[in-house]
Amino acid sequence: MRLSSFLVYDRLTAALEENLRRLFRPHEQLSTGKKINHPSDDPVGISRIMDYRVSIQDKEQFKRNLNDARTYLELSDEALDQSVDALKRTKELVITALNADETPESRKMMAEEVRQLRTHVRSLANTRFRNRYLFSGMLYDQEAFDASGNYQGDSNYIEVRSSHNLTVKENLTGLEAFAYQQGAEEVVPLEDGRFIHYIQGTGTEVIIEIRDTDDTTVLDSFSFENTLEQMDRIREAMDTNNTDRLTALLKTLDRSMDEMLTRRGELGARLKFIENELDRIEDNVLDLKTVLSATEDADIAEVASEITKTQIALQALRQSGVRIISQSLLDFLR
Amino acid sequence: MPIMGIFDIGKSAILASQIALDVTANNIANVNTPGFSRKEAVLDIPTPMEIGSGFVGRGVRVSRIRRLYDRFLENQIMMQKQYLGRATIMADLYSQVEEVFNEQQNPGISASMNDYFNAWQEVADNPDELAQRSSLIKKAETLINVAKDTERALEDSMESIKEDITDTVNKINDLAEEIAGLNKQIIEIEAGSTYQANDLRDKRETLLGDLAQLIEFTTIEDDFGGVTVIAGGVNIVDGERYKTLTTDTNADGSLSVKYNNEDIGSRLNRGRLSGLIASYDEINSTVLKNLRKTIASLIKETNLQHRQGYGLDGNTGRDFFGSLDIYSVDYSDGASITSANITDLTQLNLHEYEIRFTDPTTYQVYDTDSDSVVATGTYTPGGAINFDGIQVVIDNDTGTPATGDKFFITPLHNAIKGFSVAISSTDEIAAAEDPAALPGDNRNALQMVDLYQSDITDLGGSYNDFYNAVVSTSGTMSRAAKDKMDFEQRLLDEMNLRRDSISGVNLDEEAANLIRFQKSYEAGARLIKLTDELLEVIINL
Repeated sequence: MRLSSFLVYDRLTAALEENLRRLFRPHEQLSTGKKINHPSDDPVGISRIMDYRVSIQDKEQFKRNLNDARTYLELSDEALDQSVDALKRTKELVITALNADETPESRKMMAEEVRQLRTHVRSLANTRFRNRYLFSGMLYDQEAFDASGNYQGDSNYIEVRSSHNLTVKENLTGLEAFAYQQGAEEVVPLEDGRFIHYIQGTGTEVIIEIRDTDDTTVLDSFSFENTLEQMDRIREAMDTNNTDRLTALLKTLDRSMDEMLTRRGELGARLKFIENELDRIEDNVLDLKTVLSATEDADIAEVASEITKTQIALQALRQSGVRIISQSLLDFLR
Repeated sequence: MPIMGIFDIGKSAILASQIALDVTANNIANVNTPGFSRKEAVLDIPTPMEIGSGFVGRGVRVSRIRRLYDRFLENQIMMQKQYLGRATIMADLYSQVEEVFNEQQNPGISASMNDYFNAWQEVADNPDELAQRSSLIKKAETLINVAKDTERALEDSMESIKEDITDTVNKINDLAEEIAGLNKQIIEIEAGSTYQANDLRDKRETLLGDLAQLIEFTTIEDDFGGVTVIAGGVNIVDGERYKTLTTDTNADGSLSVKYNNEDIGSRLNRGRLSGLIASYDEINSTVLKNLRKTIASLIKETNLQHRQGYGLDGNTGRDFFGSLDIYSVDYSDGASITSANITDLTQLNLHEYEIRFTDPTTYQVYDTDSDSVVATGTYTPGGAINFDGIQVVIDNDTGTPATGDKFFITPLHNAIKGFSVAISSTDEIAAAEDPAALPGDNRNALQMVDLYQSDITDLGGSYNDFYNAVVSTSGTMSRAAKDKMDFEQRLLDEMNLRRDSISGVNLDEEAANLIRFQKSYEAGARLIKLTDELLEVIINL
């Protein structure tokens, strides 16, 4: 085949250009550290990369959600823990007050301590974090319990996403933590033959009736709707030296503490769930980062050797090119 | 035979060698001229002279200058240049388009949308916090800006394609004029002679090669040496005459290439012009449309969810984003659209429609996405046409609708242009589901978050799936166009190699020819000198 001179130069230029272009791609990979730099480098890969990135971002968001929830739950747990302590102390006081040796005066002094304990429990029930009253449900811009012990929140749970299909509740309502449902009526006989009835009222109202030996005549009746009101009743009983009521309230106090401990158990379970989720997310993120890296990161060693290879080819091309184009019959015509 | 015969033979040798040297010199001079075909002096024997004992030759002559040229190959190259012209511009344009979607270099819609939905999660975490609420609005605004930038980049590309189409048509017209001019010269030179206007033909060949990069055409050479260039069914060059193509803006903003109101552009399948027209349509109908659809869907779903929720101020029924509107293109001379609105967002399925008049009183609403008729009716001027949550009112304008009139209706076209945050304060963000549970109610925000992962009916997948497919498509388009360009380039290289093996100039060969003809020139001169000496002998007798 005849070769035209024009073509020899032309082809050589084209080959040099092609080689330089080939050198550019690994060079770009080396400078960005990525093997996919444009959608056309790997149209399927780019879509995966975007997917992985978004997933990682999502998981980071879930982590933030969970960490927030954990803070709220831990604070709630702390508040309940201290509340239980306060109730324990109250119980001790009630037991002491029931002692026959105590005088109305000494019981009045105990009443004062119960008042302080009640203030303490109220402040715990109104625990506030980041402008949020933890035990007020969704109405968390208001205190859970006002000064007279009325619940001001609602019974809603605040939930946040821990994954695309799971949520975690980040609160206990005040009614769960600081009140309980009596349920079926309970009757406790007293040593002197009288009876104490514990009756379910509306909502969390517990009605206590002290009945005569015939179990019909109601001698005394009082009620409370939550722990704070219960403590009010205890204080009043101590103030008025009413040991019958104190006897009756000793049992409900136990019930309140049990309820709180159950709720703490529930919080513990949720915190455990959060821990597990966080671990799982951490693992997931690590996995995702690994596959993301495998998909988009350039293998530096490979790229470097690719560059060397192309460089050698380019060098060889230049050398042979010089030889080819320097060959001319005209050089020999003197 | 007279002694002067040797003199004549010597003279003929000198003259022939001189012409051959001229041709060689011209070949050498044009070694780097693209499109130049090698010429060759064809030597011939003049009629021999009879002397008593037989015939004696009368020297040599140059019968013609041959142009080494393979018409079949040249035609193939011409066609290949047309293919390459299309492939090159498409590769160029699509690589611009893929850069618009290149989230490897800078965060784009995918990342911004992710941020936007995560901002809703933050609001769900802290439903009453001002910081998180303002952050949500900021993230929404970022998403809006990114979407607008992306759309603008695509529209800029399309705008530059339109400019390019106009430029290309101008170049085609200039080339047609030049080719017609060359036709005229060639016909004049070749008329009544046996000579070929070789160099002019080379020049015309070069111009045709330039034209081939721009537009698809076929050529026919007539008996007088003129070529007829037929592009899109029009003889843009016919002998000494040429025709001027024009561009025309269509109702939808795209450009048509026309001759005498006849659409030429749509008939072209090769050449830069066809590549430009095809790329414009492709960008418009796939990537740009789907980009707009992604955002339109986000606006629709966000607003539908947002309307159900309550703001911190206890109010409900508000849109989060500025509402979608209907864009229409009027392809009717008589009637026109007086209003087009979305009446029911829940029924809107983000399809595009054509309202077609099958006769002057009957219209048909044709869904171009599902290829089906969604409504038909009798036209009453000013009457409302309802379909898929859209209401369009068409009225007589300068006349009545005619058969074949159509109106293009789309909720997508303005989706990004009108993309904005509609709420005016952070309190209006509807995170709550129940106004009685304010401010801690985050249930509507959680519903909003769920949109991100759920399958959106209008998109046939999640936002991510759909948008990633758009990015992937842009990559595939670019990749395919690049591969196509490389393929066409290699084919053309191969053809050029073959062409050059016939028509190309080889300097070594020409150098050898120089020596050859120099030697024969010298020998001719020697003959004359010999005649001179012989004559001297005779004269001195």
